[in-house]
Amino acid sequence: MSEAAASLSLAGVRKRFGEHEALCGVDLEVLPGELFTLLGPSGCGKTTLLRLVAGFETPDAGSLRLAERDLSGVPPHRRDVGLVFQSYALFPHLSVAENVAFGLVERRLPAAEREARVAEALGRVRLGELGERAPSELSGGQQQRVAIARALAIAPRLLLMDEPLSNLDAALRLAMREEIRALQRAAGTTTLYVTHDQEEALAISDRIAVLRAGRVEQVGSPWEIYRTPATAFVAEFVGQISWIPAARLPAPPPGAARVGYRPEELSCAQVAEAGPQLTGTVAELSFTGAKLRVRVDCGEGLSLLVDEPRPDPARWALPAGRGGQGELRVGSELQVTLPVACGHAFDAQGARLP
Amino acid sequence: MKAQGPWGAVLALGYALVAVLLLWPLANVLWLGVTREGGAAANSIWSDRSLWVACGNSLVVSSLGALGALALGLPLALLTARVRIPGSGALAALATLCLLSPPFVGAYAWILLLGQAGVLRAWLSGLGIEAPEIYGPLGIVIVFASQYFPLVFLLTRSALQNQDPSLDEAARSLGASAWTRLWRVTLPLALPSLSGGALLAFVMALANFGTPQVLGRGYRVLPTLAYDRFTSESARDPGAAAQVCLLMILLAGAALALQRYLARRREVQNRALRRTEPRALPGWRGLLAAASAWGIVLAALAPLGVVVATSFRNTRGPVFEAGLGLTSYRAVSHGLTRAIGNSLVYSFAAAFAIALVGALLGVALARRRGLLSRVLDALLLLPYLIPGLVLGIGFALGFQRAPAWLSGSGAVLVLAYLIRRLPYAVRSNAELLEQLDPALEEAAQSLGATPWRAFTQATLPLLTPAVVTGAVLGWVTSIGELSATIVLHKGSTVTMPVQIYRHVIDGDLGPAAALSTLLLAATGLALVVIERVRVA
Repeated sequence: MSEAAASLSLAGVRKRFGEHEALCGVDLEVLPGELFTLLGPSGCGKTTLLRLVAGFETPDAGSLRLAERDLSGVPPHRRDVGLVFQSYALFPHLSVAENVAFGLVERRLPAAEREARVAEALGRVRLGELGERAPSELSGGQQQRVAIARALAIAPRLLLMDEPLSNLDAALRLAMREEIRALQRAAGTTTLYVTHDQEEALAISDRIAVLRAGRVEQVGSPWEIYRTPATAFVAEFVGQISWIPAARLPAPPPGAARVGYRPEELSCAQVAEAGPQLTGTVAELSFTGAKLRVRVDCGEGLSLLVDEPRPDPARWALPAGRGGQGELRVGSELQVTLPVACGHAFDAQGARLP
Repeated sequence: MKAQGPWGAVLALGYALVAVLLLWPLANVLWLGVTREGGAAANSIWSDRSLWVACGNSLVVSSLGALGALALGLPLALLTARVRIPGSGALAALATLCLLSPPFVGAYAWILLLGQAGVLRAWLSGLGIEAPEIYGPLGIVIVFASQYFPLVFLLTRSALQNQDPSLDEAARSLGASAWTRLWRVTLPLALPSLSGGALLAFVMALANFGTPQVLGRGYRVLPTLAYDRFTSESARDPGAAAQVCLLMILLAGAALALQRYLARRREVQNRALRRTEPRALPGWRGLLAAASAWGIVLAALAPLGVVVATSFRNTRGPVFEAGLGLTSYRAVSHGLTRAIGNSLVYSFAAAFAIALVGALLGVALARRRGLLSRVLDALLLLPYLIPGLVLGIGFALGFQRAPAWLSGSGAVLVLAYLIRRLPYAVRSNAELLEQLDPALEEAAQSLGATPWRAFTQATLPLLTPAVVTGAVLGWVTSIGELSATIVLHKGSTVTMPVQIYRHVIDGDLGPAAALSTLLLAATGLALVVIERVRVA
């Protein structure tokens, strides 16, 4: 669709609102054609960053370049940037087709070409027959698809999506997630995607930037973000992690203040694997189908989350007759193995140790 | 990237309008009231017994009128919000018709029913029952109640409909009976709207000039006293009139302040996830509910029906004759075309101005937040406080030395109508705009529309309903406006309401009925237009 996908680069971007520093020096390189996600808790500056790129806010310092061209002074309507809003922002007084045609009308395309492109855009999101409907007659998921069709119809150099799935229910969110990814891949449009949902970010992105209080904590592929979190914050925000103070470990890595383990990296199997062990009591058992999650209380405030991917019903017993005939129940004592190969060591400042 | 646009200039226009059309006339009233220039009597009006009698009378009839409005409006609201009543849409429309009908037409209708030669009275005396005449406080209270009950009804109904049914269900699960739920859950939650509607009815009754003037017969209230002091040849005393005006503003201000205080104190956050839908009530109880609801509205509406019917009776001069015909309309079309023409021209001019200025100021207030717009917003509350008669006297004082093209023409009437009805249009535009998703204009811009195109393409079309509704409401209230017009009009700028008033005073009931019927038709037409806009 786009002739040549554009790159986006941000250098030293700062923005403050009164006393609040929303962005304090952000550098990012978004490669042509990739789906790049800004991930962070609310208030981390990700939406501000998106609005700076769209042109609705101006940076206090730093530069934004789209396809090697400086964006400063370019008003939003000349940026050629498609925008999908959290609220969809469909024009309620226009039909679905008129919504999709809006940007093409502004670009003064001839009527015939306009109609063809509207039909194509609606076909792409499988809403070809609903062009005459009013937006209010559509379901949430359909409205979302109209918003995407409208943004893509202008063949933007960059697509911005601001929490596009947050107004949908859980099942639809999963389906739309895959659909957005497929549409983006087919169009080949460079996309900046904002979300606070770490699972969504991992599932959909080529690369992710984790933001915290206006700063980039880490940029990397979903694998890198999850498996080698650069900071303790990233380790906690993306996925779950149990922290063990260095003092409780027999041989902590030099310089480490604490070592973290993902629940699936720990094990409470009977056959001890290689690695040190901690003794604790079972504080909670929750079976969620795919796994059994065990919270083990190891004393002195240390609590570990351990996932058993294939729990043995002959070994475990869930509370109050919810299944299992085994001996291990809440209150039972057991050993947790800490595999040496895994483990994420961080220093006192929260930086990852190699 | 905040586009300022032309809204600064629009705010300046708003301030100019408020200064010339609101503050200047008020300053004139205040000045005259304080200095009592040209006063006939040297002693202060504050020691004048007639003022305190009128003040007491005003408070009595307005309070009783508001209570009557409550007594009619609350049951109606409960019935229509909780029980499915056949034709409840028409019911609400007819109630609105009562509210929007020109204020003195109701009074005139009751004269036709229970005046000296009233039809109901004649019929009752044929049965040997001597019905009391409608003149005096009782009649005024009846007219107030039957005109202002829709305020209580409409406000309370919407509050009741917006209540989350879970609250009622929760009370029921905790063991509360129907009565307990009504007293301890439903009504307390609706109290802000309920008291708001009643106080609004009180304020409007306090300002009502036409009804007590037509029905009072020596029972003086503040507006009629002010009118008398301002215009009468024998007891003319503009300074005293100005002082009565100041007292009226104080009373209205106190009532509105009380309303705000109550609304704020009793404010409860409405986090309703569902709306309460009316339920079908089977059997005789459903019939009883429907009959009660329709009974209330039809009883309030019936006098207006009498006006329409009367307009088709044959008359010779002031005397009704047997048979139906169009003599009244013929009389109107011979002698009164000027009044009708004037009314149409002025009301359309006012409606157009209200639509335009209301939209501009509404957008400016919503778009340019800041101290300047907040102050203007507050100043625009003033017209709610100022009775029409007071504004009329202020205009008469303020523009008496203005050039003739202004003071001697219909322009002054149009400006008075504009400033009285502008606040509603401004607020409804501003509120609609504040509710709009700001992302709409941003979406338009991201699709390539300039900021101005984004405003005209994405926002302006959504504003149309508020603009049209404001204009139509402005039109219908302007065409029926009496209290400011009665002070400001000249022989050449006479309007239909003034003409009706004169006919009623002269006992010339046929043409009055015909003109009133025309005004009622205009009101009905306006309602239809508003309903259309609301649905679309």
